[in-house]
Parts: sequence; structure tokens; C-alpha cells
Amino acid sequence: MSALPAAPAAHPDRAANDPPLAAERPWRDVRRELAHDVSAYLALSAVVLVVAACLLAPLYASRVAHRDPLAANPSGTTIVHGVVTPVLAARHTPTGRSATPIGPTWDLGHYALGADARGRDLLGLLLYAGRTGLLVAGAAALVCVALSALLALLAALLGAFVDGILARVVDVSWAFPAYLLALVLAYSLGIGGLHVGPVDLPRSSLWLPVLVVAVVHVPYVARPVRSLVRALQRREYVRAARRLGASRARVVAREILPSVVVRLLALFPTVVALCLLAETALSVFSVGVRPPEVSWGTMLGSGLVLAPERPGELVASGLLVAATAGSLLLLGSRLSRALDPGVTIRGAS
Amino acid sequence: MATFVVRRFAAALLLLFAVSVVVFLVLVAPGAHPATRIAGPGATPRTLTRVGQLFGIGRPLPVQYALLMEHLFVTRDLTSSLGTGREVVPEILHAAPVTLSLLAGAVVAWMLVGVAGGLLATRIRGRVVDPLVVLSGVAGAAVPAYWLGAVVRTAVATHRHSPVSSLFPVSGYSSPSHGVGSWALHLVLPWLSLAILYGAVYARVLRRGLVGSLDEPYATTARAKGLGEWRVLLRHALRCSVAPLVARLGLDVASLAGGAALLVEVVFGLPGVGSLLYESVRRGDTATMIGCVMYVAAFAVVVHALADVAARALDPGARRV
Repeated sequence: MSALPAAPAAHPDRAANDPPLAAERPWRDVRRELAHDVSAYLALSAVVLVVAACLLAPLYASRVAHRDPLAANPSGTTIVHGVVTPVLAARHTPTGRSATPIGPTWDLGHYALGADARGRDLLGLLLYAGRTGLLVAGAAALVCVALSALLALLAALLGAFVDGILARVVDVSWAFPAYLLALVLAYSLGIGGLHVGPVDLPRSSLWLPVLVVAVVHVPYVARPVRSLVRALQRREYVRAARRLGASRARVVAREILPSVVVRLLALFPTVVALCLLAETALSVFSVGVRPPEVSWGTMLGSGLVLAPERPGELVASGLLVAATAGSLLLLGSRLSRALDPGVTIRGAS
Repeated sequence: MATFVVRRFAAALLLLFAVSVVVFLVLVAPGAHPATRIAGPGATPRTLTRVGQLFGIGRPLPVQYALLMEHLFVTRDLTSSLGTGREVVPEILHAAPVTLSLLAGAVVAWMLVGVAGGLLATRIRGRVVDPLVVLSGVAGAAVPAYWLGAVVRTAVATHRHSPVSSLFPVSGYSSPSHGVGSWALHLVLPWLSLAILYGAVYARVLRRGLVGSLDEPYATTARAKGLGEWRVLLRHALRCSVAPLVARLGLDVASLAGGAALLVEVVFGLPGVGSLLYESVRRGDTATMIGCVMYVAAFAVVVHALADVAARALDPGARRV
């Protein structure tokens, strides 16, 4: 590759496959790039809207619905057009008794979107499920990004040999379907929980999906972060610091880390979206978020069963997942385009 | 090229080995009572003994690992850890054609959607179309395919009596040996729910490549020869932009086979490996689960390696290096 004439903008020392990096004032660049970017604003507002709605779930429960959306309500009633109606209508099927939940009433406070199979208000449940889902996805993304950054920085710190090993491991595991690995991990942890040393997590703990989803996405994130760190290492100011006699540790801490952190923030929305989608799939497999906790994924799973009669739960939970993940992905792609056009995460587009 | 092929498949084997070790360590090895873990709560003493013997519980870990691989790939007599213990591998091989039909049809459909969409979006690019392409590409990455499939299936099932939807069976599978038409009709909805999303992503990727190629000197030369814009696109730009798509294809088929397609099978009631895996996870049938995971993993890894080789052969630039 070195025989080819270099592109005019490329630094002579830079390898051809380095991601192009933005200038050294990333915050200013992001603000300037995104100042007139309508889609970034739309995506950001959608994310803020969903998060705010989910955070306000207790307010909805106490002021609008007047009951706990998470408590089963098999014998409850509500008022539809002034008529008292049972929330679950009993029904006899060949396999035994079952019940059809009430459909959408479009009346806020009276089962506006209908009920789930246990007679719970779907709208309230969706808001609470969003809290769990976003919490799991956000925490998983944080753990994942932190682990990836740690790995990449450690590799930079410990030199070429460790870095080479890391690169090999990441390259190999990067191509493996993450969901399959997540399924295996979540299934195993779901049998008995996680009990290692001081860590003692029961099988219903929300930490289990967080850890599983975070770990399986580490190769996705560590790969671009590593190439980022390597590109930064070739920067003039980093090389200058080295020549001035700064230790490797100092260079990593003072010169590389600050630049990495900013760019990790740009990757963050994308990672949250991937984690949300993975949590949803795991929960549909019934090894993600476990009862009594409710997430959009578990609702999607139970919505599948209910769909022939009442598609509301399936449609609403899936729409929320798709809209949230889509907004996060769009936001992430605008952010990383503004910062570093070359750094992308697999699965994001 | 030959060295590349050998190296690529050596890497694939290595990855498969690593994955099998991880699966073994995570599912079989841990805990004080592995047999109880694998057989699940409420297993009879007979099942426990059978599982213990099958997995070589109590023997050194490398021996256990070798035993598991032997049962999986050599003697292929791994038995389910539930009940009387049906054989797992024949069940997987019986289900495999369903999964392969689903994947193959979906890939063809989404490449068609992707290439047609990408060409069209390049040809009519502008202020109105470009944001739509970006948006549909984002939707393709964000919408879970199994959810889309479930919604489509529910919609078709509720409008059973309309002339269009009565054409498509909403559930089950029909082997091509009972008529190719019936086979295709059973699979149209699952194919489409996978193809639309991935097609949108591919259209976006292809458009990005095509727009870049159109600025290259060879595109200018072709125009200078008097060729029409469509011809420049189809005969010159497309050839260079399609290789990255093929390289991506392997990666996406691999992650699809180990991800969304599994649940698409479940949603449409297709009796493939995905449904088998889903059932085994729900019922706590560890042995069947290990079998499904390992066979799916092997498939994913091999497909990815094959696609890499194909992309290499297609890309004139990479061939010379």
C-alpha cells in the first residue's frame, strides 16, 4: 500500500487505514457541525421525549391511572363510555379457561391502550417497562464502553505485544454473532444466577442482562476504540510528548485519554441502541429481563402470545423499541460523523 | 489467492474452536453439580445418571470437552437432557433445511431490494430522496425483524378473508419436495420481513459507494465516451461498489443466522433450528441448546469465511495485493 501516492490531506506518517480524526477541539467541532443538522435535533428530541415519559411513569400511575401498573388486576373493572366493563373477559377455549384483555379505549386513565394478559394497564406498563429497558441498555452500554476503553488503553500502555494479542482476539470475536453468545451466557446465568467471590446475584437480578449484553458487545466497541487510540498515538502532539521524555503512562493519561473520552461519548448513543436491541431479543427468548421485572422486551414476548386477539402489546412495545433505537442510532451517526467520519460500529447501519 | 483461502479457513476453525470452548465452559463446566445443572430441576435419578455419563461428569475438563465434541460432531449421538433423551443432532439436521430456505430466500430478496434501491436512490438523489434513504437505512438497523414479522403475520391473519392475504399461509412450512410453489408461499412473509429491513440498509450502503464511484475518473471517462447515466451506473460504478456489499453480506448472514432469523422462525411457526433453539431455551433442555448453538455457530463462521473469499475474488483491487 505504501507505494501508492498518498492522499493530499493524509499525514505522511499515518497508515492508510487510520480513521480520519477531527481537529483537537472536538466539542467546538461537534457544535458547529450539528448546529444546522435538523435530523440530529429531531433524533435527540425523540430520545429525550421517551426518556422523560418513562421517568414520569410514577406520576402517571398516581395522578392518571390511580393504581399500580405493575400489580396484576385479573378481576378489575374500568369504565368504557360510562359502562363498567371487566378488564379481563373470561372465555372458554378447548385447552381450558383463559381471558381476553380489554382492547384500547383511547380514554386516558381508563386503559387508554388496553390491558395485558394479567389485566394491567398497558400504557402504564409500557412506561415502567421503558424505565427497566433503558436502564438495562444504558448501564450495559456504560459497562461495555468502559471495558472497551480500558482494554484499548491498557493495550496502548503495555506495548505492541499485548496490543497484538488484543487485536487478534477482538478481530476473531468481532465476527461472531453476538446474540448467540449472549443467549448462551444468559441461559447459563439464568439457571443459578452469578456467584463469584463477593458478587452474589440471584437469577432475577437486572445485573445479569446488563453484564451479558455489555460483554458480548465489547468486541464491537473495542475494535474502533483501539484503532482510535492507535491513530491518536501517531499524532504529532503525542509523539512530541514521548520525545520530551514523558512516560507511556503519562502520555496515555494526559494526551490520549481526554481525546478518547470525547469520542466515546459520540459512540455512546449507538452502543445504547445496540444494547437495547440485544436486551429485547434476549427477553423474547425469556432469558433477558426476568419476571417480576418488566421491559419492552418481555412485553414483546408476551405480546406475541396475545397478538391474534389483542395485538396492542406487541405493536406498542416493538414500536417503542424501534423508535428509541432508531433515534439513538441516528443521533450516534450524526455525532460520529461530526467528530470522526472513519470510526463506525458494526451493526449501526 | 490460495494462501488467502487457507488462512481464512484456518482462522474460521480457530474461531470455532474458541467458541466451542466458551460454550463448554459456560454451559457444562461450572458449579458443584454439573449434572443437576444440565438436567434441570426435577430430573429423575435415571436422567441424572444418563446426563452424567453422556457429558463425562467427574472426569477432567479437557476430557469432558473432547467427549462433548465427539458426541456433537463425530458420533452425533448427543441426547436431550430432558425426559427419555431424544437424539439432538438428527433433530437439528432435520430442521436445517427450513432454516437454510429462510436464509437463502431472504438473502436473494434483500440483495435485490438493496441493489435496486441503491441504484434508484443514486439515480434520483436529491433533497427529497436522500433523507428518506438515510431514514430507511436507520429503520433497517433499528426495527427488530422478528417484530416486523409478527406484526405482518398478525395483520395478514386478521384479514384472512381479503383476496391478497388468503394467498399466504401465516404459519408452518412445506418442504419443496411437496411443490416449490407451496414452499415459496409459506416463506414469502418471513422472507419479506427480513429482506425489507436489510435491503434498506444495503441500499444505503450501496448508494454511498455508488455516489463515490461516480466522481471517479473512470466514470467521467465513461460519460465522455457518450454513455448514458444509467449505463455508467450499471456497467462501471456498480462493479466497484458491489464488492463491499458482498463482504458485508457474509457478516450479516452470520449474525442473522445467529440472531434475528432464529426469532423470525419462531414468529412464523417455521420448524427450523431457531424454533428448536427457542423451545430448548424455554424448556431448559441444555443438551439440545448446546447442539443448536454449535451448529448455528459453525454455519455462521463458515458462511462468513466463504463470503470473505468471494468478496476477495470479486474485488479487482484486493486480488493483486
